[in-house]
Amino acid sequence: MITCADDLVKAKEQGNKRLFGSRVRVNVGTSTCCLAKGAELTYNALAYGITSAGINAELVKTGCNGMCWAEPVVEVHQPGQPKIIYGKVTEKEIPRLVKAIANNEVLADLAIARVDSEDHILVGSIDYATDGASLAGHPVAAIETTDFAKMQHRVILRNAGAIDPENIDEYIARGGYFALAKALTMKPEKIVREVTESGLRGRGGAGFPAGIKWRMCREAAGDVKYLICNVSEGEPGIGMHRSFLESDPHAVVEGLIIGGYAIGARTAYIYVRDNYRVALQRITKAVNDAREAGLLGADILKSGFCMDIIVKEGGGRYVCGEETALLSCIEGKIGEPRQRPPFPTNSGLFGKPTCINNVETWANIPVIIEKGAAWYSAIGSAKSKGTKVLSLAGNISRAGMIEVDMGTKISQIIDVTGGGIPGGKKLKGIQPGGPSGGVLPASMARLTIDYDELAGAGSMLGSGGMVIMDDSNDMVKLARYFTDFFVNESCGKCVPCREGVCRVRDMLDELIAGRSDKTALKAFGDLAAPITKACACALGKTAMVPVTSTMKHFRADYDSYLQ
Amino acid sequence: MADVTWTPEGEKLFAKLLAAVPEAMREPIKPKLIQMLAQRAGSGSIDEAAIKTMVQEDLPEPQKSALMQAIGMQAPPQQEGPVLEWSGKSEIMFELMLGEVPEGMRSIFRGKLSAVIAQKTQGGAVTDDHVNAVVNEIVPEPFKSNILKKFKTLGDFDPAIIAAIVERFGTSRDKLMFIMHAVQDEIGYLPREAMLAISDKTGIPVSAIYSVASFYKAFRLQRPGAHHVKLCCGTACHIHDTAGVGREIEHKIAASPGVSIEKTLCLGCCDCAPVVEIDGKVYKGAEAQAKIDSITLG
Repeated sequence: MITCADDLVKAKEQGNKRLFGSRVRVNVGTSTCCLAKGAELTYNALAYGITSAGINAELVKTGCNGMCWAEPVVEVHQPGQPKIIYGKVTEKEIPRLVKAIANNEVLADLAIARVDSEDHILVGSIDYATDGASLAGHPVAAIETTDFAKMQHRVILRNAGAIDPENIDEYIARGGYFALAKALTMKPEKIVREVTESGLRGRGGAGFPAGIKWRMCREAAGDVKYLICNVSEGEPGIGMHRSFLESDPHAVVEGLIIGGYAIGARTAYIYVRDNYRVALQRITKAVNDAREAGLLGADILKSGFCMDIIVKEGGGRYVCGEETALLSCIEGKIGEPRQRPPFPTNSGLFGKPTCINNVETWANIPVIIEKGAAWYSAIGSAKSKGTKVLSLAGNISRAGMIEVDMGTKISQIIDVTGGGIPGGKKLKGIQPGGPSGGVLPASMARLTIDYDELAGAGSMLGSGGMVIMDDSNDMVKLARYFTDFFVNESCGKCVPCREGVCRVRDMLDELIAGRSDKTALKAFGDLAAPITKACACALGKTAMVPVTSTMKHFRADYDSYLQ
Repeated sequence: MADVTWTPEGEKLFAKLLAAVPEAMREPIKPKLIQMLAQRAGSGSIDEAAIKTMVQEDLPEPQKSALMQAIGMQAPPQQEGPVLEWSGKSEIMFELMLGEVPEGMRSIFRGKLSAVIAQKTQGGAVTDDHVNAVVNEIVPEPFKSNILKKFKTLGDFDPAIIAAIVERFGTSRDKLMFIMHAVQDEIGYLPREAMLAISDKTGIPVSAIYSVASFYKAFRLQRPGAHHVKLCCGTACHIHDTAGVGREIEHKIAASPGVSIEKTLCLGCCDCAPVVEIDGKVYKGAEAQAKIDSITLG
């Protein structure tokens, strides 16, 4: 049980014993993305190899460190020496890896990078290479010099891949729950002010200032209030919320407890998509572990504050990512959006004031409390503060989960962190944040990761699922794919969305079949206006964006189909 | 049988008797009843007494008691049906069987059929087989076929599961999806009878349960195959599937009766696109192909 700050320190020691024991520690990434590439086989082969070779090792299942392009990833840390990150460790590499671990050698050809020390946001420097041996001429590159890592700033992803996500002590060892202890000694108003001053904007898409939302919910009338963590992540092409929950679930739990204390809510829901089996299982375990440790429930850390968290499995509909549809879903109804106002901060779940933020927003909270608003607001651009977690996918050499400061240029993310476009092809389009953000042309890669800059270009940052497209992609067919997605995901409440988008898909089919002339392109514009204006929710309002944005930026693709 | 004659009272009573017979059986049974009455009446007209004697002496239970009551005779003393100990799906099956009986006659049938079952079980627990045997032996057509058809679609699940799940989550509306997810995890899909049972245990209307089940893609109303494949339709999978692997997989599965397929929202494994989920695990590339081949060819 953790009932005071001293208990946290004890748990921290326990966790550090696991992280930095006297034995070699071997981390195997086992997020869904890793498992898809055979990480379970890797883990089992390693377990067998290590046991049969008689090696005294700590073999741990961790989350994803973001290097999805190199999975299965295995990290080996011999006490006192740099931690070595190995990539593409398939089953057949295991015999020589086990041998190398037994003989304390490094497999330079398999290694991606070495970690001498980590500059951790919460606990400062975490040193791996402590034995004083010279690292000059080490056969493996230091992580901070690699293209993948050098532009990244791991604030949210500070623990991803390094800790066992199912072990609360390891989270505490890396500064976890200390922000909660600090927050519970602060006045709730002060916490809300701190979040406001940090400049944190909701990471869900629109970028509404989190502090203002918190204040509205805090000041709303009523004793019963709710918090919701939205992990719907229904847009195609995004995997970082799943990955994050699978890698560092306690960060979300801690953010929610702090939020509950600040806003005056005693119940929080974490809404997770039903497709995310591993994430559901890990967040459920994290909530249960926190409850068992006394960090949830009655009288948390002897502050008198009580709170509980309920993990809610979703139903697999994109529209449930829309906040009012999400409320209906948690209430056990079909996920149809509601009219706003009233806004959820006044009348949300069960008609009570409700504060809805997404995973990444909640995960930012412990950092803001621990480091302070001034520290946080120094990161990022003028109006978009902090960092942004992005999932990089599509036609890119290094697809994965990355985190960069707000204000970073998209072209740099593609060329440096992502390693450029593979196969000698050229960049054609960028989808910065889900289908609702549309597709931007290659020339707009000069834009930066910034809410207002992307909105100014007619797109949106969205929740950060960046899909890169090379010049082999046909934008008309891509628009048809996205439109088909919106047709399938329309909840059917508003006619323009239910019927209009269907019609647009039919028209695209006609166009692709070569049966349309110029008037068809005008018809797209005529249909776009009412659909954009007359739908109740953002899903319908943005359903035409894939077509209008590709028509605007890739007109040649459309023209090539015309009669 | 045109030569049968009736007294006015006899004709009236016979109409009353027929009205008490379930509609589906009325026409087929009418000639049989008239034949029995003709025997009772001999050369005379069929009167009230002949009808009453026929019902009392010629008809089997439980129809006898039910029809005696229907034509205003003092039915033999009603025994309370014996207390039975149900196992498996037997109780739901028994209730389904009773559901075929017209409402006014149901309580009599309940008692009589319970007694028949008690005789078969000899004091032991009622099994599905006992109920099946009763249906096969004493229920007339077309009810027999109807009931047996319902048994078939009953889904192979234990109704106790649903009671336990509802007990665990509670009966308020916001718990509905929790319950439905848990039931689906247990049974593999949401059979009609499971939704009826959830409604029965929670008091939530079946219409509401069905609307939730049909709105959300997470719920399946059909039993999935022995292997279930989810084909990811996310953007990255779309971009990377230039060779049309997805369509090929669809075709392969369409030709394999034991395998079911579902197109799903992004599985969130965009970095290794295209991917499929097979029996709850995500696969990519060559492993996915090999796994698909192993389940479709086998």
